[in-house]
Amino acid sequence: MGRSIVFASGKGGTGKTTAIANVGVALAQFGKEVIVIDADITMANLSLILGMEDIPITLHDVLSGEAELNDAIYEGPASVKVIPGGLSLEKIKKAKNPERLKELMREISSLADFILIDAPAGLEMTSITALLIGKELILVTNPEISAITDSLKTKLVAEKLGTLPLGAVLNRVTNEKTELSKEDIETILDVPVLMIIPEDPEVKRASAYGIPLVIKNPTSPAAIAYKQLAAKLAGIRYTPPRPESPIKRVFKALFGGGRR
Amino acid sequence: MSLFTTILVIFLLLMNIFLVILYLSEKRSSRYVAYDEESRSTLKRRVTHLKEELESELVDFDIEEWEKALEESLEEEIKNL
Repeated sequence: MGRSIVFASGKGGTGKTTAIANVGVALAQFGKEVIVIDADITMANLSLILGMEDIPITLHDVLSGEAELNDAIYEGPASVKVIPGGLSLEKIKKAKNPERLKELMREISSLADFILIDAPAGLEMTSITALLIGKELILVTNPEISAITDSLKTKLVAEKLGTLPLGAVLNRVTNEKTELSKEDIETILDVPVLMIIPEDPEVKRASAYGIPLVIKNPTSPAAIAYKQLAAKLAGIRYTPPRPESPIKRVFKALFGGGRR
Repeated sequence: MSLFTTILVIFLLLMNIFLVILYLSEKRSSRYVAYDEESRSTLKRRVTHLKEELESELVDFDIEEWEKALEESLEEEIKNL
């Protein structure tokens, strides 16, 4: 049985989908069998981050009983397995039975070392279902009041449902003085901060191309943080690449090739 | 021109050249802007494609049927409580 970890936040836009895509790919790069599931039934975005928006069969087709689970499992970057959600409105309409996700999880849990579940924002029925199907929880939050408050609600509900909170991932950290500190957030949420992901413009660029950051720009600060998080989850020792010296960067930028 | 002024002018000139090199290297660096032109056009192409697909789908989309289906599933949930 693999570990099923649900990535949730409460608030939308904290970077759950980006986190799950990158952690999933990083775990696969470390040699782990990984399945990532887009459990955000109404606003499925995982396929966009992974550049897989043109796939024919999705989780929605499986939920509506029109396809078998195996038909909706695709091989993504670095051999990570992906069960994407459908982007079409028609498919959202058909997949009105998210409860079936629980049954599907029983089938999926034996197929990989890690099953990472992208939960929808909010605490609606689909979000609760996502919390129910994961055994462990990672809160993806930002260092600001509304994100922290919503993450706290999610954590409390998850605990009631019997899901074990592993910790929080602080995403899009700029280290501005107005931001809550790691210690403040650990005290409020009562869980450890597993990783701090810095604000990194490369995240946006990678998502524009539909390529996970850990592949598109593996030496960028956020990519390194995602790999560190994946290593932590897998219990693997990971030495991040050394940042380039400023002098080397100047020479490389001037004479040695342009943008990646 | 005194020696001091000459040295100062040379120093300022070198400093300007150094700053221009730094500026150019940063500008060419992959982290200079979030959206360079290539990324922007890729993003635009993907979003436009998705928009077209959704719009074509909306032509036959029956919103009333969806409302009805949602009501039914809500009723089912209430019954199951």
